[in-house]
Amino acid sequence: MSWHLTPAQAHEYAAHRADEITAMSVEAHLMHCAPCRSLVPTDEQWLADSWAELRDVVDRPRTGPVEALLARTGLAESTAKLLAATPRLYRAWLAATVAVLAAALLAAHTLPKGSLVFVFVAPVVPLLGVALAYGRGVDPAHTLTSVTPLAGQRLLFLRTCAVLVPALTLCTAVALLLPGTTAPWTAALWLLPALTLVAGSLVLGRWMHLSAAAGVMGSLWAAALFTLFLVEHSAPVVLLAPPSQVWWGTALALLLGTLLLRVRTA
Amino acid sequence: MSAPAAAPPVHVRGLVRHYGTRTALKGVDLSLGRGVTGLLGRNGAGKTTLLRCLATDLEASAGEVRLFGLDPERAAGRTEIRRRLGYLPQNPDFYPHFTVFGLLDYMAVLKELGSRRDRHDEVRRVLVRTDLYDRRHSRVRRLSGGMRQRLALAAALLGGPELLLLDEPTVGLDPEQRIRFRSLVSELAVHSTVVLSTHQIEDVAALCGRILCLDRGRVIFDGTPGDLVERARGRVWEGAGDPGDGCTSWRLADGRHRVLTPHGTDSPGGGFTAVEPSLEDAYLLYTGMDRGRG
Amino acid sequence: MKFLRRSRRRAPSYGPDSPDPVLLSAVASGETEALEILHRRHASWLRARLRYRCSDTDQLDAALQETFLAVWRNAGSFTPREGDGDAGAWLWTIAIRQLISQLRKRANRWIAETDPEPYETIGDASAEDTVLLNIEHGPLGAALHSLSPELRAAIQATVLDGLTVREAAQILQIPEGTVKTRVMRAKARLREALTT
Repeated sequence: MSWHLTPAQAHEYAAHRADEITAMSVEAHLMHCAPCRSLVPTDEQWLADSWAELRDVVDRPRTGPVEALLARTGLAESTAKLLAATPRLYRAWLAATVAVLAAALLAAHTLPKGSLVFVFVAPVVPLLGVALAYGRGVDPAHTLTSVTPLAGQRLLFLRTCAVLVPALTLCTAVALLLPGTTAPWTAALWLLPALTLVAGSLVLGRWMHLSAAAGVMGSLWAAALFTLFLVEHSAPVVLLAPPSQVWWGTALALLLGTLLLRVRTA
Repeated sequence: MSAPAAAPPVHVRGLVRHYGTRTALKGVDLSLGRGVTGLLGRNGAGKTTLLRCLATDLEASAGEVRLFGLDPERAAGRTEIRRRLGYLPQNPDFYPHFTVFGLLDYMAVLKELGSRRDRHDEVRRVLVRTDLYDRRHSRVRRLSGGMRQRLALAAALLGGPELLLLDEPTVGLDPEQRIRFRSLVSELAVHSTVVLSTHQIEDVAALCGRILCLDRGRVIFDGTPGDLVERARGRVWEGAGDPGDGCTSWRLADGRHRVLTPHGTDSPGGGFTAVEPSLEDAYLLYTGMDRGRG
Repeated sequence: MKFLRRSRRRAPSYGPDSPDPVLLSAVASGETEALEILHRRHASWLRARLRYRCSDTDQLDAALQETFLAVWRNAGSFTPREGDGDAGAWLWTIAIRQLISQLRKRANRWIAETDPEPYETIGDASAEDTVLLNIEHGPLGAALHSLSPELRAAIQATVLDGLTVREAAQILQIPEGTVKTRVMRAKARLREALTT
């Protein structure tokens, strides 16, 4: 190949001033001549912008499956990121929850009155998740994240959602699979106590670590069960009977009111 | 809410902080403007507690803390302060399964750094500043100690904070990285307030226009490095022989001893002559002041 | 969304002066810096060339953006021909097809929706086309001058740009049959001009 572009020709071509025949001729040549291609002048500003835009697509951190799933449900990208970024312990909790609920389900199907295992375990499941989802001690990155503008109430709320949604889904699924000896609505008796325990620990979380608060609420629940178990003629099921549900509902409303008030006035 | 324009970045009056029955800060007063302030003191002197109070991580038990004129105990003020703050905690920890980029991106979301594009650009900026760009897709658990330290620094730099609180930032950095760190911090200090807690006297000498010495929860010195050195004048000696008790001393390479006399300007004994104090001598005199009595 | 990140094989060592195939193989193993080098090397001339086919710079830049994204995703499918360390032709094939799909997006009222065809180099041009490609100067230039603009455009799209008849029809906005007849007439005219 004896013919090459002159810099002037390259400039003319790049500036879109070459006539059709010359352009065709230049293009046919450029196709297999790298040195002449490099003669084509570069708009540095345009190149930098173009690369920045391209890099933003090719060099973004990989989106995990959970985050991608959440983003598909229509959540804002940043919210999905916050929800998906959970401490390791949260995942352990999720695995443990599945195991415990499976065991409870097995008990319900094999033991007489085995359904009670589920009824007493279910309210504690979300509570444990909340205990392990936020705060110093359970969240390794807490020292870094706790002084960011989004930390505090908002992150706590998001993490609580990240716990409640899978916990309630799993518990409901198990409740529906329980042997159908009782009316269907009894399968939902655990729900109000579960929510009340979580709300209670969030309220207590103002004065102590969230995990400690959850511990307090969990202990209260266990103590109540144990006391009722010891008192003769009264079965622990009383805790979940319809009259008690009214009390649970009232307590939950009060606790939620307190939380709301705190968020408003804070 | 906006802060008064003239409010100093850091203004603290009578700050007290208890941990149960122990009192970590016993009435600290300080006011800081732009530039680098070094926080010196022995372990347990209250450096970390002070930084955590300034970082809105701990609430004051008593006294007044104002950052940019805002009150960190009120939620609105706290959030605004946190938007303008970068904090590198002591022994920072991360989610080990995150990538470097992913972790900083998560931090950037928590710092409310806007759209994904803006956030990623900011993450890349701090990655370049801390020389971690090539490792951006590595898992955090694969990073060395020095890299983790730089990652924590990168996280603190997100959003270009006006107040940068660094708790022992040079731990785990090799000498070359420490020099890079110093030039980074002195660049940042042109436009922001940097508070640096450290045991590395070289870092203080190279960076700090002002030094605060803490001892058992109190500020015992507040001034320039030059002032601190002046205070040590006449208390640093070199000579042959064995120095008496109650003095800090060490053996020099030539076999003689360098002696610090904290409680007076008397010669530790015959054969010792007063020498020009260094910042390190002054630091040892201050932070080790009560070793003899303690 | 990418569940499977690109293959974990190690990237070859590369630098700003590495040949295209080395850079492409680095891109295939996830090296964004290699993509940046390729972008710097090829974006300008590709853009200049696309400008002769589309006057709307927004669409043109979008096409170019898609071109390099396609390179990022398909770098592994690049197979250099024997003794050819250059990806220019391959990149152009991608770029012109991205431009067509951009134009189609904008104006799908009158361009039929079709699936994009797989990228292939124009190496399979016939011997005659190869001769035609040597139009750099000489008698061919004069011969091209003698063609009508319509015939020239048909030759440009099919021979120079390496498009299929269908793609040429899309970018020229004329029916496929017309493209075929124009290309035949143009080639006959050129042959005539070159042999006399």
